[in-house]
Amino acid sequence: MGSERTERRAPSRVSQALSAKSRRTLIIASSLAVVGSLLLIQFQEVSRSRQRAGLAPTELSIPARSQPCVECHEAERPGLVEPWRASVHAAQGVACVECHEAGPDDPDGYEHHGERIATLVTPRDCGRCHADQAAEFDRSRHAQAAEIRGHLKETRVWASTAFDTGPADIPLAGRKQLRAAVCGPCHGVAVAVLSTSGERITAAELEPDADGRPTQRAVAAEIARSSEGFVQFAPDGGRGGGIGRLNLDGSRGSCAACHGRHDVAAFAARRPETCSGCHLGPDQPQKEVYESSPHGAAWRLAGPRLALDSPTWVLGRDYAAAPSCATCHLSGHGRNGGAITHDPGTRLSWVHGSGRSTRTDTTADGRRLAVREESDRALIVDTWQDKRVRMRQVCSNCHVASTIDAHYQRYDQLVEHYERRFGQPALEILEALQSEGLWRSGAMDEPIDWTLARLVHEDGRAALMGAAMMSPDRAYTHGLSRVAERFYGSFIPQARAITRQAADTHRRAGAETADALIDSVLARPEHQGLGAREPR
Amino acid sequence: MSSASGPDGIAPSDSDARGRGGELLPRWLGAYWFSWGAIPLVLLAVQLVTGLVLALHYQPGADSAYESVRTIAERVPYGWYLRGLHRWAASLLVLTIVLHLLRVLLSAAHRQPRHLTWLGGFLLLLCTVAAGFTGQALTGERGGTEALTLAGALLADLPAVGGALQQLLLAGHGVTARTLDRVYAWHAVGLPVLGVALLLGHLALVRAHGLSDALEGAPDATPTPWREHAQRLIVATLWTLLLLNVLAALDPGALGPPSGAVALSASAHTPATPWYLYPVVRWVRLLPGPAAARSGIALLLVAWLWPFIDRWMVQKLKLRAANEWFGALAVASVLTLALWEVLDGL
Repeated sequence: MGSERTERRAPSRVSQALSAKSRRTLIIASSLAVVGSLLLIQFQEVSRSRQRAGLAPTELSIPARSQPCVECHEAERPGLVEPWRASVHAAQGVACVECHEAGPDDPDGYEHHGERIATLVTPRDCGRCHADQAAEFDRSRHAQAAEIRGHLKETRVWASTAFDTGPADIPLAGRKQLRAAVCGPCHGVAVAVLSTSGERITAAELEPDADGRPTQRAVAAEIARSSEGFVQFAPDGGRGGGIGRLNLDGSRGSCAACHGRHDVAAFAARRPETCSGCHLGPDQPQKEVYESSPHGAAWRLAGPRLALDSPTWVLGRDYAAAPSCATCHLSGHGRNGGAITHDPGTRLSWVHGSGRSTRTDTTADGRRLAVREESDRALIVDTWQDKRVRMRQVCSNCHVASTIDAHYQRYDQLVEHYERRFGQPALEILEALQSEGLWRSGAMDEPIDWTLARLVHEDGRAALMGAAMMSPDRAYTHGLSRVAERFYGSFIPQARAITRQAADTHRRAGAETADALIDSVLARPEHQGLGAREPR
Repeated sequence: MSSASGPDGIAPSDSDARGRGGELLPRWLGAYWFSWGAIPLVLLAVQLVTGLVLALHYQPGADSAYESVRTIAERVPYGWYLRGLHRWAASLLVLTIVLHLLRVLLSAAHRQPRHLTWLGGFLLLLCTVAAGFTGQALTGERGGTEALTLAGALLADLPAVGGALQQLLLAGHGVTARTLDRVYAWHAVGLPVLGVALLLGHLALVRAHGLSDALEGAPDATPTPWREHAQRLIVATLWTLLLLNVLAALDPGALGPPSGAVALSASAHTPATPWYLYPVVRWVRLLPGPAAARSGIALLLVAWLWPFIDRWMVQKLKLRAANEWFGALAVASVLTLALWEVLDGL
């Protein structure tokens, strides 16, 4: 409390010297400064409004490690960077290194200007941030899309992949290149890099562990690299974005197939155009079915009411104007709390294979199990009824229960009708021919092989999908009508031609047995209606 | 020195010189930094107003919090500005209150008869820090859940009432689906009401006691006209608003990734502890288990009851400079802990 305290607290000489006039001036100046700062705020708000309205490019904050990538590649290859600038990743500060970073053990990693990166980004990489989505996708049939080799015979698709199961004089490399070009863009094939001796190295050779690191270190060490350290991908090396791509780190798939590559955006997976890139054509005409259905018509008319750029896209909450593929098969909706799934199989109660539609009872690893004995039932963790309930929940956002009931009734009836009248009998007849030695499955050397493929793999599936997704055109005109024409107009006559030829070449017994089966099939009630006749 | 004339050369009349309550405002109040005691009040007003407007758009609850904050920051007109003001005013509020506390300590204004003012004021500081902490947790950014869990665990470590306090904060034994609603109730209702009540009491006590007599009898204490003091308050307010506007315009506060997003490589956003909690965080890191919370609460109690401890030291232990020495020690320790935390994170 001595004098030293007062000295410490002596007021400044400057403030003492300010006169009343100076204080007034100071107040006016400070007020003007505050008004000026408010103008600065207004300027910023206008700038942000323009960015929100898309009238100005959004400010991006590029993380430091990726700054050099953007600067160099923007000059050298703008097509890599400009799509990224428009993406949701860029808006969130996720740039190059964040996705392309490679671990020291990654077989396709290389040093590039101070960073170790890999060109291909796999679901394992995406899963670093999007773990749930990656895991869900891995359980789905999309992830199994590349495992088609074993299915080729079963699905009788050999008509379009004859080079794969044909004679051995087509070189193996040629087959793989054809597969990469023809099957790979949709289904995905195995990513392959070249070894120093020109051999193909895929995940099968590297045998990655659960963390994606190759266990076959010697094989990984053989991977050929250019003088700059880039790995050499095999020409048929499946780098494309096929949805079931078999990646070197053991993961399956490519998220870019639906979500876009550098131009990752929320709306990409919401639009039907994204799915239509693969889900179209005679054998899985989902695009054509959707477009000729009331849902597709509604979509075309809905325009901005679809809220495609909304951060969340929950049916019934963010939009309700019309559904796209994602709406029913993947996206969240008001009845399930907006939960998105990356496994479309969880809402599908039928799978329409070639000539055989099966209920989707699945086991714990997501695989379908056909219940043959009671003991099988214990393995089922998710029944087709569970799946149908989930799909019905989506429908119920817009439709009442009686409408949904009626739809499923019609759908189930058409499935049953097709299977009983055309699908199953066609297979029965061929099995009979085969057991009598009159026909070889997979030989692809007779007209009936092509007819079968078109019948069960194309027109039949079109009819079923038309019923599933309410397209009267695909259900009938481009569906059942063609099925009937092919069955009665081609398949039956071709089967009879086989038996006739067999009878003429001393295999009468077998021919008679087969003929009897064909007769019994055609005697069934479903083949007694008008037009349902074997042509004379 | 004791001339009765002001800087204009005109002697202020008694009515000019006396404040509203009739007390003399000494000359040293002419120093600008003594008008800055009003700044926390200005900042509180800013917080209440911006907080109210933000509350019109904020949706509490674990599922909707983050998206509503994003909506405010990206879609609501001037939402980014209001949020920026709210964030910066929070930091400045803590800073100015701490500076105010240091000034009070230095001028020994915590001593009798003003010990009640200190008690209330210290609680106000704790309310402000709590409001800042809860406010940050409400954005739903990554790191918020961990911060709340840690806070709950620290509370639970306190003897006897720990569990109850944890329940009070988190509505559970850890972060649950109800936690954010509870934290929101504290941040938007509980703490403001408590804070305003304490503040009213604090101001009433300040007016009742008048200015600290440590200074009143100072030889250079000539009266300051009330208008002059008011004008300085206006300038201080304007400068505060200006500073807030500039800060909000330059850095309105980027929203980090939401909680539940897996950590990316280091180039992405990392969750930020508010700077005023750095000493606390470092203290918790240094001490194992319950020792951190218990020692922490002990230190807080010592600080809160400082007027009594100070008096005991001066009167009974004859340590006249206790205030200065322990004040310096406290400041140095807190700064060291904070710096340690900063440097460790680099």
